[in-house]
Amino acid sequence: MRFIYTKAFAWFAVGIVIICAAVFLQVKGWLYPIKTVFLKSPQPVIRIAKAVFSPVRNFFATIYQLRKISQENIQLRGKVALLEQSLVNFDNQEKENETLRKELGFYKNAQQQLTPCTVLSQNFFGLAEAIVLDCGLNQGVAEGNVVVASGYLVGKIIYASKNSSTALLAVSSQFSTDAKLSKTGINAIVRGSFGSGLILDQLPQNASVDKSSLVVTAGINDKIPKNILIGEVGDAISGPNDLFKKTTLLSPVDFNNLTFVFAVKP
Amino acid sequence: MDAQGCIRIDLYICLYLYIREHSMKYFVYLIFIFLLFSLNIGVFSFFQIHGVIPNLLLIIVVLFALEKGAFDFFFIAILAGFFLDFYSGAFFGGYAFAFLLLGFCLNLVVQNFAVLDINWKFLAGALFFSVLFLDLFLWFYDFIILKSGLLSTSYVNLSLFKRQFLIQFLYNLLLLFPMLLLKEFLQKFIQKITYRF
Repeated sequence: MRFIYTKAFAWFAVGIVIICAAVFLQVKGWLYPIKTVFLKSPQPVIRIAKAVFSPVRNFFATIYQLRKISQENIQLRGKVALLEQSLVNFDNQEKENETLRKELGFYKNAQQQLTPCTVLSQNFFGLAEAIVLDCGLNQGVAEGNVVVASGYLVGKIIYASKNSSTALLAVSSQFSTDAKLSKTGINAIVRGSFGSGLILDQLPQNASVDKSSLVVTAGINDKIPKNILIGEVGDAISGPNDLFKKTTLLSPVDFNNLTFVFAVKP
Repeated sequence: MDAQGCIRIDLYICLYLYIREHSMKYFVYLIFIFLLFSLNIGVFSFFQIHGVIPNLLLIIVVLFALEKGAFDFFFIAILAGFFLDFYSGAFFGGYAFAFLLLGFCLNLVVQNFAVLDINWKFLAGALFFSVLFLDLFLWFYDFIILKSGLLSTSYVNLSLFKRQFLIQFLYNLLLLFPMLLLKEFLQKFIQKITYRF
């Protein structure tokens, strides 16, 4: 018991009290000004460091991935040709659809309400796969809202304070959302996979799932609008004896380098 | 003026000098942690190994905590913890509590039990323990917060710990020596400044 009278213990106790006070302020939502200072003040230095080291990293990354890039280039050329053909079909269908809508008196679907958010921080350190955004309740962002980047699903808001919020990334194993195959409408569940990718799970065993089919949100959860692009189907990872089919899901989003995202209001 | 008044004036001067000297020291620590954190994110986010970057703030807390008779690590631990807490997006307090507790435990060991000089094996062992302690403490803190109802979703993914722990430790170990040099440089700089004042 003698050590509680030492100077070290006194310092430790003071430290605990300071942190407890800070946690209390955070819970009450009064820590926002300090949080802003802590989050925004290192940004200029981070930006300078990134500007210096980004070309260095890109140079070595390009050399390292040269073969992969050239293979990818060939694949993408083929894909672009296919997509151009689909675009022509799509244009025709859109015109037809527009004419039918007019004739039948349908209302156009409401556009999604997007709130632009800057990514204040990305956690590279620990076990949490979350990002901090500079938009919160005051900007209309609420818990459960989905976050997109380049039109693809990135994650969902799990904590929203007045002017900032935290989004859990889709690649986190804690993440899951309802989804469907865009082509066939078969429902499934998308889950994060240990920080490295996405998994399309709970597909019926008899469902035909083509590789590269697009997967979108199903809209079962009322906070997540339907038809938000998640990714495309990759390789199957379940066996024929499994109860459900399971495949990898490929998203073009670079989850490690997000700078600007949109929060989608339902 | 009587003798008591004279002593009181001396006390005030001493107090003034003490605050001036120490405020300068803590100001230097603040700038140092700020720069270290910025470089950690700005530079090492480009040099990830399996999604892992070294935690320079953890290394510096460990190095300061292993110093006998000095308590500067308390200030450094809290400040570094706050930076990481705000930055991580996880529930506030995890890193600050973890750094403070870790620093206190390491310091306690050094003050009371470590009879030999601190060598590389000891440093590597301390770092191994620190990385392990930090990850497990963050998971435990997240669990407590989740159970207390302050959060609806868990942030921390313990399965990542299994995949990343060894890489985390080795990457941090690689930077232990440069950080040791940086810490010694900082201490010399602070000494120089405080003597000047």
